[in-house]
Amino acid sequence: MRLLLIEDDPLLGDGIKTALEREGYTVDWFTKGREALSAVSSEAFTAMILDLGLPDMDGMQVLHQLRKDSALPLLILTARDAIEERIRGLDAGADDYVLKPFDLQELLARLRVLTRRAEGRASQLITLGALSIDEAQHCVLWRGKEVKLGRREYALLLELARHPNKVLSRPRLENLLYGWGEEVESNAVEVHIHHLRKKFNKGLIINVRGIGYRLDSETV
Amino acid sequence: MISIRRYLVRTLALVIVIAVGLSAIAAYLITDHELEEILDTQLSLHSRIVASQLDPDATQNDYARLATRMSLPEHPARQYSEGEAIITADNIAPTLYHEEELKLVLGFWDAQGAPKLLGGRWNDAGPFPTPHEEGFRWENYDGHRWRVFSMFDVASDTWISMGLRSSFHQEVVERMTWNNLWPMLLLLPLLLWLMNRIIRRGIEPVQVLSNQVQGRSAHDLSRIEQPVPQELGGLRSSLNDFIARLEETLKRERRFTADAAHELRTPLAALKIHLDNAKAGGEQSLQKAYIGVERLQRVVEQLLVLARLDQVAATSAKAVDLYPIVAELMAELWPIAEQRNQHLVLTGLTRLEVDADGVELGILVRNLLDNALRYTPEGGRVEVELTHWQGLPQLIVRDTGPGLPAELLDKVTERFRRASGQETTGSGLGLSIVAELAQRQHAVLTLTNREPSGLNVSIRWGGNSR
Repeated sequence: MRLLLIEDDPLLGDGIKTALEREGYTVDWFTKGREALSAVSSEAFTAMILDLGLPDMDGMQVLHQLRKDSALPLLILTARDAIEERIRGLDAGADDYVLKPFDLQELLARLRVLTRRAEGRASQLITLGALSIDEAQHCVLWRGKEVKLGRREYALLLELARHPNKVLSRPRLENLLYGWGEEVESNAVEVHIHHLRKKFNKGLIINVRGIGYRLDSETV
Repeated sequence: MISIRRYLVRTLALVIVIAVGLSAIAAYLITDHELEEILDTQLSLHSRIVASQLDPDATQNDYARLATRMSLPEHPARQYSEGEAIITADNIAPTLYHEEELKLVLGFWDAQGAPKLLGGRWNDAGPFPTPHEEGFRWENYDGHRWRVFSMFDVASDTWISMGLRSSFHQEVVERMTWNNLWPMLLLLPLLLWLMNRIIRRGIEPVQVLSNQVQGRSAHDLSRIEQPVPQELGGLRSSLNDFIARLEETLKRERRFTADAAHELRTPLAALKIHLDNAKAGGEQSLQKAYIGVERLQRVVEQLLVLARLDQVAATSAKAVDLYPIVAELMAELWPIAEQRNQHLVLTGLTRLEVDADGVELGILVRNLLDNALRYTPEGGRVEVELTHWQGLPQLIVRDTGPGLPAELLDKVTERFRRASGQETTGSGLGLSIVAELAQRQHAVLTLTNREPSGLNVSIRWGGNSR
């Protein structure tokens, strides 16, 4: 899953990026609101973490701009604890509100809730036939047995499982694996898909030639 | 402090009571005097009438007849011969027509001063004293005071005295005074009650205003809109001014607290997440956590400096030589600059007097140097120059750091304003402390960017006060 992080403080931004990447997210980090808005308009993200105190424009302005044409799940990260601020943020279209200093586990849980809610799921468990993925534990079960996956393999499988039977384009999957500005290895997606097929079932992930891949819920 | 209402009620009541008392005393004295004149006139008039009626050839028998007429019950008139009282056998019982008759007495003496006939009470304790000269006098007789008029009738060769007991006079005066006094005494309680009511009503706006101010909650900073009388207008408007100023101060404090919270929470959040990352195995994260701690420490220190500056209002400004302060601080910071391979240079005058507090000057210069060193990259140069500018003492700090974005040059002295994207541990308070101190020392702070890069900070003392 690809996240957009907007945090002007270099030290904190760096820490959050590191922590989220460790959890398997791909993180695009911007320190300015304008850059983030232009990124949203050109790339696909799963969710967005927005710090309210930004140097070039107020975080609330970013939020208003964003909500004009995007329903991207958004979590506000701020040091301002006044209740009016929270209400203002939530009313302006934020999905959640986390106060600094925050607990990393709580931030992760809230992010999971955001993406789950965006997909209309009530549980953090994705179950498709013999395949079940626990988002919180990063645990994948295949026919009752745990399967060990690499970070990128897990990210790919999760994305496909979140949209079963839907064809996900190759560029979209590549975006998922590499953040903005990162060098994309040309056959990375194929390599990871290949590994996944070996670990599960050959028919699990179907190649839609020239376009991308889809996860076949009949097979599982 | 005594209550105005009680003070007014008390003093006005006292004034009214004293006024009533004084008017009663004045009435008494005036009546006393006037009545004395009237009674004296009456005494002399009656004596003259008696003298005019006295027969020059009156015999003992005539006086005996007169004595019978002048006798009063239990106080018979006495006829005297050779100074001895002659008992007059009378056949008419003495009659008293009015109680007051006992207080008016008539007496006759011959030219030698021997009594001839003395009426009523003038015999009670021996014969009444003989008159020696004409006119009015006071005489004490038988334990009473008598007002006496005496005259000598040449035709009959007889002294005539007529006297009135002073208690008669006294009674009349007292009665008249009392008659004047009692309606006033009756009215007095009514007057006092009315006065109390009027004062209470007059003072009511003060009470209402006071209640309004007293009764408001600590957070109520609304203006007092209650209409007040002219006399309280000034008080109300100064109260409103005060409230407005208080609100302004509170707002500033609140904003500062919010900013401070932000500045503390962000590094705290960074510290926490880096520690989490370090626990999960990130090796560099521990190092980053240290940076977070240093930044927190710096923010806290700077906040304390600001809080202290906010508390102390006035500074004790006197001529201080800036050179030793700057030199000392630069020597202190030398190791830090050395470590980062930065050149630290002091040029210009070796004596520069400014009007300021020495301790505050130290804080100011330290923050400027700290800022310059903090934002100047390794191998950069920080130069301090002491000069005169148009006769005013001036301190310039130049660095070879990134400078400031043009739009931030004016704003960077606001609290917690930090140029973005910097990888340092600045608290965002350094320049705002400098600005605050410069203002307190009546100095002008100017920030300009240098070419090709760097910041030029100049402080000129006395620029806006002289």
